[in-house]
Amino acid sequence: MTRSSTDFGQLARIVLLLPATVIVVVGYVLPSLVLAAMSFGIVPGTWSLSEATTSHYARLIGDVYYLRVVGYTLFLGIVVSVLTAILAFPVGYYLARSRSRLTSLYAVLTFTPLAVGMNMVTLGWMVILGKTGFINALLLQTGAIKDPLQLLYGWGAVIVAMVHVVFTFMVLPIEAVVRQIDPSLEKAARILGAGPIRTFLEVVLPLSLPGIAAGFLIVFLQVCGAFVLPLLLGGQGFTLMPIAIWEQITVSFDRPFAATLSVALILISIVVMLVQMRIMREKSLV
Amino acid sequence: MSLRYLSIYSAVLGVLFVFPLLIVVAVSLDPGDYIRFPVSGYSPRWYIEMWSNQTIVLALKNSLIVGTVSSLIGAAVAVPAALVIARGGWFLERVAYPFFLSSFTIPWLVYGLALLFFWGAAGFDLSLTTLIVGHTVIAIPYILRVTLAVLRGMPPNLVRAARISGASPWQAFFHVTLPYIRSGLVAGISFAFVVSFTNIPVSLFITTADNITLPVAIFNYMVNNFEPMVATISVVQVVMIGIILVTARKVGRVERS
Repeated sequence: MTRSSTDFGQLARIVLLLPATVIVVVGYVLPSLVLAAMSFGIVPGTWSLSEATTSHYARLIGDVYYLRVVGYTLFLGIVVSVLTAILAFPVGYYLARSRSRLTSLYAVLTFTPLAVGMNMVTLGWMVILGKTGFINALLLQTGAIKDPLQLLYGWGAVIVAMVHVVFTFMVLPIEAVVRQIDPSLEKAARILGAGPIRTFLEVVLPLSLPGIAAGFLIVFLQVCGAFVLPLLLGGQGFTLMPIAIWEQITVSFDRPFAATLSVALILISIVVMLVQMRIMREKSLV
Repeated sequence: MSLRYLSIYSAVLGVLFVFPLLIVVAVSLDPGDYIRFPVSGYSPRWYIEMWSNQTIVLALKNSLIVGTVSSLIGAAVAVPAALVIARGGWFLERVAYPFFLSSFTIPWLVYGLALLFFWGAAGFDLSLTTLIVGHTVIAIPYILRVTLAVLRGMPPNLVRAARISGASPWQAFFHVTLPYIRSGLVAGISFAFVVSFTNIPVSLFITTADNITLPVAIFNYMVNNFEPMVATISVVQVVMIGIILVTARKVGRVERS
């Protein structure tokens, strides 16, 4: 191998990588290690390994309440991912195939919830769904109902708003994957006599699966980590993993158990990622 | 599939997407003391009163400082790293790059908690500096990814030509590489700024009365008192984000032409 004048020497590489490495180690790796240590009851100050205990994990696994919280979190992740995939596919397909100038506008619109911040989006849905909110005002004025409906707080409100927030994470990979599907494949299927539905189910959908799977993963992880939106739209008693962590810190003042719940949430994310990669690999082998 | 129907569907969804935001704008102009719809009227009352709220003004100042400093430090450390990673190699691709992106995979609230424990264990008081460190860590992946994507598309001969013509590595970087990656870099920095400027979960546990950020202040208001001023501050926040994104686009473009 010949070294050209544009290659960096070993020393230059280290110097260039060093600042980012220092920040990630100090700002991310060490805090994560402290968090993991806390979850085993090793507290700062003494750092005594002899105090290490798995009792916080035993409490998590033994308590039906927290198992239910884990279940709710996974359930919300699946529901929101499936709904978003169904709703976002037509948009992703359209963005990939249309030559209209409007496509860039739609792309920007699906991105807005991320750019304006979670407080704005959550507030918007609170005003739309609230007892003195938009939908109730509309229904009361048209005489469709006499008493305001309880739309806010609970699964419905959280699911709707969550789909809104994560939509762009599903649209982008679907758009990217549809772009790579040769439109003549669909034409060929149609010429050979397949109807539009069969063409979609047997040609477009199978070829889009990698994009949908990629979107599924990002959306699922986003939902599992969501905090502000489910806390404010879910209302009292609606507990997901991040909300349970927050409660341990602000209500119960149980820091080690908050750390345990955090580690459990990270483990869930890793397992979901591994399962997803496994499925994707098997699919491509077929 | 008929693109015509799909375009109508996409347009309807697009309108639904901005609808909640428009509702907040309407509420932000309500002079009343609680949030309701239809609004009781339109007045700039809260747009004036919010500036006499000490917490909000301090939080806004803090957020501007934290967002600016963390995204600029993020760029200062991510760009050199990107230059090296762009050369490829097993270690850089499989170890270094995923390592720098690893903060992407941890839920933000969990990261915020880890920072709370870490600064406590290290004996540091929570301050703007500790906040900036956390925000820099989450800024790095955004800036690194964009910069790397641009660098990978850059013909290596550009730098080679500069070096052969007698430019020092520094000159080659500032006169050839930097102008080439500039628009991507500016996009990455502005995106990292927006992430910092709107972030609640990372900041929540590590903010105090002194280093509180704007989104955390808004969050506290949303949990405790639900008045139209919450909407007003949110709208002001969005307007600032808009100004920054538009400015960034201009800065990124000028250099290209």
